[in-house]
Amino acid sequence: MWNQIIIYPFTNALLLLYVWMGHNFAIAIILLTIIIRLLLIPLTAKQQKSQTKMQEMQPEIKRVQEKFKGEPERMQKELQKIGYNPASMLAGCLPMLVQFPILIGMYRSILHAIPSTPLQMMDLYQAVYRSVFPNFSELIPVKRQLLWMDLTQPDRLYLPFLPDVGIPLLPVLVYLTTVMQQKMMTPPSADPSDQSAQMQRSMMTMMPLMFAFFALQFASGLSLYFITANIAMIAQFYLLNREKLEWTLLKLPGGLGIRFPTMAAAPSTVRPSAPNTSGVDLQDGNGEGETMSRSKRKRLDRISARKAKGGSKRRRRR
Amino acid sequence: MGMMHSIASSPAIGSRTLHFLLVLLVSLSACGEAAPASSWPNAALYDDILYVANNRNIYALNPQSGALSWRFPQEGSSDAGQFYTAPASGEGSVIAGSFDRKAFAIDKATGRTIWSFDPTNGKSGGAPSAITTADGFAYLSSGNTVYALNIENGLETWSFQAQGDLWSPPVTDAERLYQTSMDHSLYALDVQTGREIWRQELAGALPDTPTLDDGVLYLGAFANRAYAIDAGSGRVNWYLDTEGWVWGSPVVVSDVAYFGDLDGGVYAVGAANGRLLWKVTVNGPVRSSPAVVGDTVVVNTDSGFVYSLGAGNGVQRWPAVEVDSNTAERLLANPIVHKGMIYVTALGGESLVYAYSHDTGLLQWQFKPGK
Repeated sequence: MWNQIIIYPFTNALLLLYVWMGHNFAIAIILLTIIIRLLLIPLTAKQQKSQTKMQEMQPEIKRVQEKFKGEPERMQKELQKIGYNPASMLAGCLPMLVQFPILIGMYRSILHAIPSTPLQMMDLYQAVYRSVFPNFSELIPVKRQLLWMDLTQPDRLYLPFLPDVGIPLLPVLVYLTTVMQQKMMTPPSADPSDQSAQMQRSMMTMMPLMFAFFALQFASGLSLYFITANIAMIAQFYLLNREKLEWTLLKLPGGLGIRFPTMAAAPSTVRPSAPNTSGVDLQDGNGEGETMSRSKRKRLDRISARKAKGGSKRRRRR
Repeated sequence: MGMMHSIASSPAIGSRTLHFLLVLLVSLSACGEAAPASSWPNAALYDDILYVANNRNIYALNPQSGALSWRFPQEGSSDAGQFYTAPASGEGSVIAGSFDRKAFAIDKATGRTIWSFDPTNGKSGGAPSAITTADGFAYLSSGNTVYALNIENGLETWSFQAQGDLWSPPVTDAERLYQTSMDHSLYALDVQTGREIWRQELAGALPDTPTLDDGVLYLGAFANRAYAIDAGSGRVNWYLDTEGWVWGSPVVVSDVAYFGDLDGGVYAVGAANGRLLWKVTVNGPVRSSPAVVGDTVVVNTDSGFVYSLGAGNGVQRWPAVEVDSNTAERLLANPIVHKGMIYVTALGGESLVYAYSHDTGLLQWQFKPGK
């Protein structure tokens, strides 16, 4: 079932792109990854929106939780008032869950479509649509070399002056693009000592290392997929969240540093525009927990500074 | 990937999600096929010992009882790689190729290493590596290269590089060595020097060792076709179009060539002219070459069935046996018939080897390798 719905269609799509791209499997992988990322934009955008909202509500949620520590019922009510609904937040994860089978399917179909072992060849024979590829036999063996890469083997670059040392170039790129993507999409936490911030930090360290480890072990076709997926995600996030990003110096391992757009620090909440009846500070009247961007906050700060200046002048005149 | 890290960045989604992610990552790693099987178990029978290559080990079994004589590498030995192709017989040794492109000569009596050969210079990369032996040489086909090794000490005598990968060992006569390649070519090489004598390009990739019978090479191709090629000149004597790919080479007995295809067809054709004598369809793809003994043709299928067919008409001698209906075991290696028993090696189940009575199809024993 899993094969018929996900793996086989992706495998055939990869082979079709391979044929159209003049028997270049690397370009086929890159193109299919981009196409899938484009198709998933509605889902990822929804997920990112829900995630951003959640991020922005954190200070308020924490404040409520601290204030009503011993009163769980009251805490629930107050959390609802500020717009925190765990069920709807979980629904925000639904698009992510829908993406999982698609992305894992993509990953598996890359292994299927470049058979380098007899078992993979048996599986490919079952997977190919004969109506689409009536001359399938002519495609075998699938060309798997590109520049220094053998897409079915873990990536190692052997330089002429270093013939015995294999440089894992693609795994390094997997690591770097994962780090860059994480830095871009993760806003710095308001409270670094908080548990979720610690968890976030450990994930940000672990995740790139884990993917680099996968890339070291597995076929370089998968590394190519990881790198393309990362770059596509960075581009998508940049286009959808341009106004929330700041160009900062991103420090990379080895003392390297590049200017790179990253998420601004978690914004604080706006003071209520309607009378606050909840007994909670910094709460808006419609219970939406409205927040503002850093630029908006700067603008407001300037206005209040001007007002304060004006007020003192007025007081002095009196 | 982006999706995974972005969940982590959401503080409200707690440790359960992270655990889920870790499970997912582990499952992704299982998808990567670094550790999982790259091929299927294969067996060979020499001097009344059944040698089975599967994943990290080679097992020497008593063919009558299934009792284990030894296992290679022995406990505590360093990791020798993955073994899938059937070991070849040397003088007092069996010689096996590992998936990391190495060759090992193993003492037949003790299971200890006599010599090993590593052409990779420590560079990574796996490939099917298969061995055959003849006249004091072991021929290792690995990657796109065939190596001629001295059978006594494993020293390289010559090597030949084809344009494509080599998935099976060559077949030899006194003067020549015939090697199939995934580059669609059949190569004839000088057995002394490795020099190319002729090369014949055929319609598809050529995965299996040809059968050499009376100066004719019989082989299948990934092109829905079986061929008979003149070994002297490389000229095509005849070919027969089939429904599916022909992976296992035809077996020739009494001027009839028997083979199967990946669409489940089993064929008997005249060895001299390629004329179809009979064809039956079995339940599942036939990857392997059949075993022909007396008037029966034993065929096994990817779907886990063993068939015994009449050599004259293809009629079943006894109902097809399913090795294990509870697990999705795959029978992809050539069956072996010896002293009234059929031996099949299975991929994907608890048992590695099943032994059936050739006359009745009843299970005699099964071998489960220990952890």
